[in-house]
Amino acid sequence: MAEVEREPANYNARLRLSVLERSEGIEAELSRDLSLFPITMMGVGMMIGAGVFVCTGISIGESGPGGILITFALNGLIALFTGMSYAELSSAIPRAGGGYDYVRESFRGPWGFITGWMAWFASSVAGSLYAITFSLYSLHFLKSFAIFHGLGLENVVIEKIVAGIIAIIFIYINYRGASETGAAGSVMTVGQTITLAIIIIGGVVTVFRQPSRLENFTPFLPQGWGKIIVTMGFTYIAFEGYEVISRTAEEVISPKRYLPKAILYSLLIVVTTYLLVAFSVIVGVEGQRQDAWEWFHQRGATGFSDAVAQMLPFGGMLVIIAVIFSSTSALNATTYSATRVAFALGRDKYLPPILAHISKRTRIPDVALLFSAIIILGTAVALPVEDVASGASIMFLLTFLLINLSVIKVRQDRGDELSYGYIMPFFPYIPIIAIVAQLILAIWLIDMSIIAWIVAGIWIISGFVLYYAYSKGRAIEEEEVIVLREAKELVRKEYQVLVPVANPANAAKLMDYATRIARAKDGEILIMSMAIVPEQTPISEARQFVTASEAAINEALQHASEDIPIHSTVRYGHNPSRGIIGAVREHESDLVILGWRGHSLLHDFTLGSTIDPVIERANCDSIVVKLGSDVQPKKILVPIAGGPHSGFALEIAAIMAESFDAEITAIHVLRRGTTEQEARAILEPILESIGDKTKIASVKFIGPGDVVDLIIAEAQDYDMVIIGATLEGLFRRVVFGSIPERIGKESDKIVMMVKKNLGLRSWVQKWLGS
Amino acid sequence: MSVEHLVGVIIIALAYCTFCALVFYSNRIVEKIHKSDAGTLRQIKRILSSKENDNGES
Repeated sequence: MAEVEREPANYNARLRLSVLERSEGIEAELSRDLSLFPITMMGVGMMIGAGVFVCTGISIGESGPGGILITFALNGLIALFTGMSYAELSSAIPRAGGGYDYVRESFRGPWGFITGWMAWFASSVAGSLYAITFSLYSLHFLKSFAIFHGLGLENVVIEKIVAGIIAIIFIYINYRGASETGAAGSVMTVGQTITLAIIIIGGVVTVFRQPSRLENFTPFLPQGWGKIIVTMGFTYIAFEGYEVISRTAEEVISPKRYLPKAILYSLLIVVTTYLLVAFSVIVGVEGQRQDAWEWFHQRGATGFSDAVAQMLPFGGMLVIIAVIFSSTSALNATTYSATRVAFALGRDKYLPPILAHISKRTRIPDVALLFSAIIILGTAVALPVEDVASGASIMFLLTFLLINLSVIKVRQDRGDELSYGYIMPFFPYIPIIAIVAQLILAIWLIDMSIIAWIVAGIWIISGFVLYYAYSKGRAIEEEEVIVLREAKELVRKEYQVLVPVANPANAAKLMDYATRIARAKDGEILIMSMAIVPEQTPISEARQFVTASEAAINEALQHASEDIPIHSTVRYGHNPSRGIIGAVREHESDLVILGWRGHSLLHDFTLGSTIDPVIERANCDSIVVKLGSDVQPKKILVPIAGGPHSGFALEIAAIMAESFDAEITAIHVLRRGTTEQEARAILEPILESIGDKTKIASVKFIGPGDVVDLIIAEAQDYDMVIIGATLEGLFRRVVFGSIPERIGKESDKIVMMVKKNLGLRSWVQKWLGS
Repeated sequence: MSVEHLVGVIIIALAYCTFCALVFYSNRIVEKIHKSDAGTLRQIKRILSSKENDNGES
């Protein structure tokens, strides 16, 4: 087969950081594996994350039923204006630092630091709000049971203790390096959205059944128009999701396209949902002697769940469960968001470099986490919920104000230098309107909480003092350059075998099998190893964890054959399976070979937490080798059932037989009532498909009986078993199928489970970004 | 329905319609830039100001 010139596979999607050291011959690349759906859901999850459940009730009590609807509609518009600034900046400067990086890119002097300094406080205080929200709602939940009456659960001290405990739990979870991300996070967010959808349906049905409930909108603005500005500022925290989206810049498949879209879509989902939910909870309140807004005013933060409880059977319980889940999810996200910002400030020497210390054991920025934890716990325990929510909103508003200034400055200074994926219409009017609006909202929050403004003011002033007393002169003002790798001419073979290596001990065997297949196919081998970085640690810090990955690759290279072209790459990412799937996509690999220890350490996975997703979702053929004995196989057993993967199993067996000088025996387990002739007729096309049948020493028919037991008994006389995946039910959780997996687990021979890529991935899977 | 109700509903409707229009228009801009080779501000402005022909090509 002739060598062909191929376009370098999606090189724009592979960033190389100048700060990453390259070993000779080993490429370094970031693992880009997030698509539009997960990052949109991250933004939605961050916005819906408990803020709306707490702020809606309080805000109706402040500005009235009409006021809350106007608040959400206008806040949506202002949030969109800032969202458009984020969309434009993130498409032009796709960096994991988000707003902090944009302001640093635009303004010299203290502004970059002040943005990071405020974002750190905003994220930490938002974490406090979610801890308090959890506490309020879980105690509210307990109070609904008679046995807890008289225990003083309404006591504010107990409320603070619970908030402190939940905050400590999530700080510890973050310290251990675990976090809820990817698919689990998306599922949680979809769950919250469904809860809100049920509330919306409940509200619409209620209005149709009892149109008199619309009377709850009178008086429309009981406290006048002025209160709307206050509640707009107060609820603004429920509209900040774009910072989270922009921080995924280094992990998104196509950042220039998907970051702006995710920001826009998440806002569309959230603003529409908020408006409908606010309408529904207002009509959910049954005819009272008092006006609806007074009813909410009395209940404060828990007014939302009380209103839903009146509207839907088990509605209160539904909201409480949703809030408990969403607040813990948001607390987790804000904790590691705050940690990342504090880490960046230490790394860039704006703050003492100790903040950039990374724990060798957990790979977490432990000192940054500790200081973030102090802010989270301090505000959660010391301040009432209104002050905490107001404080977070003030900080977010001022941070976004600087972002809107940045978008104007970046266009002026570097508009014809940067490559944009989106530019906002009606420039510069939109960012100017946003700046003015955010300034007004921030100032007006004094009406809601003077304490919040005092705390925020002290924080900002201390930031300036710190900058001029410490950071100026020490700080690294210039961002280390992130260089887009230039496309280079690559000559590569048409067939590529991808060999992910994690354990150097298995590298030799995997390389041996990969070399035999690559040689037979006139192909090449790509060796890859993942440098795994916890979610809390920026991916650009991966260089600290690269040693083990390079050792695995170097071990694999020791076993490379000179006649096979070899490429190698270390991928930096948060998740090994997503990294491997991304490598298959970007390098257009044809086959992936994975080693397997023979059992799964986790109950939720069949073969393992890395292997299962790769086999299910990688867009190529796959082989999992259970690495057993060291014998050179001379007798290979290939069980065939007639499915589409049997032919592939025979093809691989033929390659192994040729290179090991072994012989193949194909066996078929007869079903009850099936004759040998009937089975032979089914198998004949498969046997013919591999062409050279001389390698097959014999075709045996055994059974009927238990398929796995019969094959394992038969395999006793063989050195290697090669078995294709079986087709099973659409919704059954299987990787290769129950028969190959059982044989893999129970046989003591070398077992190869093979799966042909049938290209049957559903659009849902693709959209889920898997 | 009072004047307060009427003005409030008009504000909500106007704000939400503007919001949706900007989201969809922005989404269109992203797709247009994505389909073109434009990157810098000058190139993008040229692409966005050019009229589409019947085939949707600039």
